[in-house]
Amino acid sequence: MRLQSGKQLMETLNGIQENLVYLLPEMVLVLGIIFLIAFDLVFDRKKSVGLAAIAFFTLVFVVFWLVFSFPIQQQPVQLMNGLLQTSPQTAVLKLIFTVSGVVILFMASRSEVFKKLFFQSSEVPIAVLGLLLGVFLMTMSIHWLMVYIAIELVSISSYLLVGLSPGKKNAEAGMKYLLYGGAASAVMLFGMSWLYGLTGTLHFYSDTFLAGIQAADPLVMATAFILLLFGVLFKLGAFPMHTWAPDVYEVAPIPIVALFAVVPKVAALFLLWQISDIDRAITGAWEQWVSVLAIGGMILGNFGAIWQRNAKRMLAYSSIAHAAFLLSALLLGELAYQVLFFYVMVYALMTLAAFFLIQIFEQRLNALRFESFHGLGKPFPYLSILLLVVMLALIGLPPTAGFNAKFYLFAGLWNTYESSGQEVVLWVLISGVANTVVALFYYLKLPYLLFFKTTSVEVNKVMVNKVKRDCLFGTLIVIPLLLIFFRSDALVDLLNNVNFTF
Amino acid sequence: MIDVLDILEPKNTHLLLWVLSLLGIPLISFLLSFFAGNQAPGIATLLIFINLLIATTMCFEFWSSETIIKGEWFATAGRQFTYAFYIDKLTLMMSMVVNFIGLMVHLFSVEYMRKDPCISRYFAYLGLFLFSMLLIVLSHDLLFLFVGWELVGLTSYLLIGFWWKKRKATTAANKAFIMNRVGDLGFLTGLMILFAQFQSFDLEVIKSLMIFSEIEQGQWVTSYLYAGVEIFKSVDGRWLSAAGIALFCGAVGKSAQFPLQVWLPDAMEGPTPVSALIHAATMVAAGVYMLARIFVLLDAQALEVVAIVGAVTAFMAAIAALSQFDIKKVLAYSTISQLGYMVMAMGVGAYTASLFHLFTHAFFKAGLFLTAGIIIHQLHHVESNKVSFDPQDMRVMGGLRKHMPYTFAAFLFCAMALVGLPGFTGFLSKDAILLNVAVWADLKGGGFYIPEVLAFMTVVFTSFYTFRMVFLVFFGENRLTRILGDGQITSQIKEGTRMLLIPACLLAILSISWALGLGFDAQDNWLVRALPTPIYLVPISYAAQSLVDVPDDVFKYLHPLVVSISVALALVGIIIAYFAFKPGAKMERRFTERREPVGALGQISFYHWYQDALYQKLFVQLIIWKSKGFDWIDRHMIDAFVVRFGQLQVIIAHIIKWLDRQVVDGLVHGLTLLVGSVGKIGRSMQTGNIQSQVMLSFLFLILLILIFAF
Repeated sequence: MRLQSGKQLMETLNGIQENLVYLLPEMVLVLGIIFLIAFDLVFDRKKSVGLAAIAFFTLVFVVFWLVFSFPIQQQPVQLMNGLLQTSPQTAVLKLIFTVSGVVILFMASRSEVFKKLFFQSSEVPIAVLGLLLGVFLMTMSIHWLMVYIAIELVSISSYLLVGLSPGKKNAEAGMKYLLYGGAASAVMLFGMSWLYGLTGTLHFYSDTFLAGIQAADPLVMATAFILLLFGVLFKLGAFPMHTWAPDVYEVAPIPIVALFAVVPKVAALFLLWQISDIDRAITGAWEQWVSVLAIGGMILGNFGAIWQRNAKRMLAYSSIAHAAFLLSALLLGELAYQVLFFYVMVYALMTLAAFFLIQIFEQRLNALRFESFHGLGKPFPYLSILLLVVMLALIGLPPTAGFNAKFYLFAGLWNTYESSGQEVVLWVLISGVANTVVALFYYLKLPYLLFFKTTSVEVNKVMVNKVKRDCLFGTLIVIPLLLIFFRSDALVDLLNNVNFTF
Repeated sequence: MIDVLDILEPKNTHLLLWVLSLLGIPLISFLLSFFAGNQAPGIATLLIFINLLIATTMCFEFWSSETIIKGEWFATAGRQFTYAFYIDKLTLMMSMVVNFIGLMVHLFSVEYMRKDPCISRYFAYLGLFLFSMLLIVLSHDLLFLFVGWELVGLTSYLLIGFWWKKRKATTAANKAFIMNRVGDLGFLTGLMILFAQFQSFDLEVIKSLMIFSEIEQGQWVTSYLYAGVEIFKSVDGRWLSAAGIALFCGAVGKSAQFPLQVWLPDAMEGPTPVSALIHAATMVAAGVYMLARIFVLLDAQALEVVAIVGAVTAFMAAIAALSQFDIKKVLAYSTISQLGYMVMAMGVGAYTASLFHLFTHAFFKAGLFLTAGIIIHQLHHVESNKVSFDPQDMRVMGGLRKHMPYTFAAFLFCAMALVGLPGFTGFLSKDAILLNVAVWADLKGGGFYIPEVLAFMTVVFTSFYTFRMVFLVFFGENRLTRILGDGQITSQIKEGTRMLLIPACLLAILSISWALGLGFDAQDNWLVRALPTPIYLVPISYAAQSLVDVPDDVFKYLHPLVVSISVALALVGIIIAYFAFKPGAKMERRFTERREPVGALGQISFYHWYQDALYQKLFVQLIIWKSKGFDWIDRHMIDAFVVRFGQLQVIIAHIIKWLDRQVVDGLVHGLTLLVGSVGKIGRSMQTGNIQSQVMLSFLFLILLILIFAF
């Protein structure tokens, strides 16, 4: 008996050892964190270059590994005794996350203030790497407990990132974020415990789990799922768990806001997509829930954004609205993954571009409140045109990739409505189109102020020269948005090549 | 049955690099020149030289093969769009000519534009032009051709308006742009007709399917497979003619044919080297080139239209060139006239002769423009604070033979080629055109002799205006002395520098027929043999009678007759010009006092048949009237309605005010209370009271469960 259990243990350990190759990115991230801590402790002064180098190197290594290891990730593999599962989708998502991470660190290095904040000591880069580790695990987990731990890892890193930047308002926002997040994760954990109680297992792809929830009372089941849903919605920043977003976005440093707006959102969305498969099978009310959440989010996000006078707050509401659009992509069923991944990629691109440009305006030109944008289009025409392009993308107008993303989404919704005949889907579509019109008002406000108002601010030559190099990097982010518009089929082909079957 | 997708299969993509380098280098030149500042002339010229070398290499590589390069571009709505490039003798020769003349013009411009502050912009535009022109030349897909077509239109617009501070230049640029758009409307219509019928813009597809299309009871019927699905199209047969005529409209705009030709004389406001490159040698010939590409798709009716328009244009422009004062205007009308010849040749089915004339004309007309450029440039130098005149006006020229002997020689060579004297390239190609027109007129008979008569009359006029120009510019005494009463001023006129002379002289040498290896005989040379006339692919009942089918005897019989008549007519023109404008002749002596010609015929010539005035009266006035009409409607109807509506609202407002006072006020107090409390909830959300935020979220959570429960 002892011998046998020993043998079993050996097998388990062997299995884990074989799995380790798939977890190389995660291990590299952990190593990176350890290096950062060690470096911070060993060296006393002038360590910012070293810290930045370690962080960049770690992320770049992960990017390379993910790209070159793609062949071995073509088949879904269960790891760590069924806690995690890698698949082509997770690889693509991890790539998006890591690239976003690189862009964000780069963004930070483009501003004196943020450079200091990010690389003076190891805390911020550690939190960033921790957050990335969290989302990696979040996308891979197929076990409720793993999901919970991953989400908590993301959350704690996020709280730190908000709280670490100096200032009273930051501390306050960090505190609110923490309390709100705590409540959300408590509810989620409660939901998970219900599910465990009802099914007796935590593996949500196992047959036992499916059988268990089919046997349970629908109302109880639905309650459990909704409780669970709320924790995920909190990370997605979607209605009705969105209220933290404007406050946090307003005070947090821009690169961190950009990180929040892209990485955890996408991870949470992917988790929801995975759950949606199970959910649809059981409860039947899934479409209605998602529709209500999507419509609510669109209306609240867009109408909230109209009244904002601060660029970052406006983008916060805009990201709430985009979260709602992403949610509505879950309604598409079979088609969902293509539209979803396309939208996610474009969303990541345009959000990063928008925050990067806003950062240039804030850091170089001291413009963040709308009044300070007045007339800056004349001295900085190129920068302003870049901003205009990004805003057009966020609205979803040609010639930008934002148009393709919205177009695919709306076309998908219409097809779903035609094939399934659910009226709710039609309402989501109508609300989406109507809200796109509303979005015109606030997105175009910034370009309007830039080009049509006059300024009294003196612009000196040093400022113009500094902005010139930023413009170059801005162009690098904006060009894909235009390219994808013209060759959207290339991206779709790329997504099709990824084997999207479980 | 043919599957369209089979034809659209990618092929020869490994050769794409050739095409890309040929197209890419001018594009790089465009981008680099913009930022190169004063280095732009050197960089641009070097790049175009490299491109000429590439074109030459390609000539050796691909001369004896016909290669189609094709690949996927994008697919939408179940239709595959491809890019396609075609490399045959015609494209190779065209790209050689475009690059060679481009290089000459670059070299010339280095000196000509040296003092211009915007020189980098100028060379950038030249690069963009060469890119677009080569795109037209190489592409084998009508959509790509159209893109190049529009781009050359744009660069032409940019370069005509290059000196945008001159009001005349901007007006001329606008005119050229608008006139070309009118033609392009036709081009687009033609594209749509062909796409509707064949579901593709690819010329290979269109040609392959055109062979199998038929005319059945007046219906144009085509059937083919598209991705395995059978497609059957049947439309009225007249659409086939319409497609050809509509596509020809594009050529009418670009190649300055009647009735859209009025933009080209005005386009002379641009820098002279640009006129040589774009408005004489290459861009305006793009219309003829396009006709050559779609030649096999034109039916008998369309071809007749082409021939008649060409003949009319050639004649009208030749008349207009007789009495101009501006040397560049004379050359511009001459260009229109020669383009008319080419178009007419296409119309009669003389594919080879037309393209032959295109090539020879490119050299001698570019040469004429460049030599005229030298004259203008040198006269411009004579101008000073005290002395100011228009250096393009022939009234201030005369006797330049002594001051600029090399320029004179170059100009004379090119002029003799233009007139069509034996031994020069123009003689061979013009003779070929005239011969074909004569044969065609004999075939058709009746009213179709009129184009032939117009063509031969044009020969006399051409030689007259050309030698009028030669005598007025180069012979006798300089008229500046007479105008200004200053005997010293002529000594300031100097020969152009070497940088100006070399390109002009090279082009002049290439106007001698032996320089191109063409020999003396008009009929049988390598250029003619390289470009055999293709047979028509349109359904047989609609096809024109091909000149290929005419027995050789007919040509042999008519040839000596045509040659002798045309040379005789040319000599007659020269002799008349000599007696009218030889030094000391009556007309020559009075030339400086001439303002505008007297008499109806002279005025018709000088004002180019009053076409401009007609358009001004007909279209411009019409548009102004229409705008005034809309203005009136706007003021008197829409505004009035708005005012009335406003008044109505005021009345309603008064009623509501009364209701408000009497009825609503009571309710309002209650409402205020309600809104106040809602506002408080809202504000608590805004201020970020964390407990209420969480509570609200949870409230919603419970609501969601309730949705499920009920």
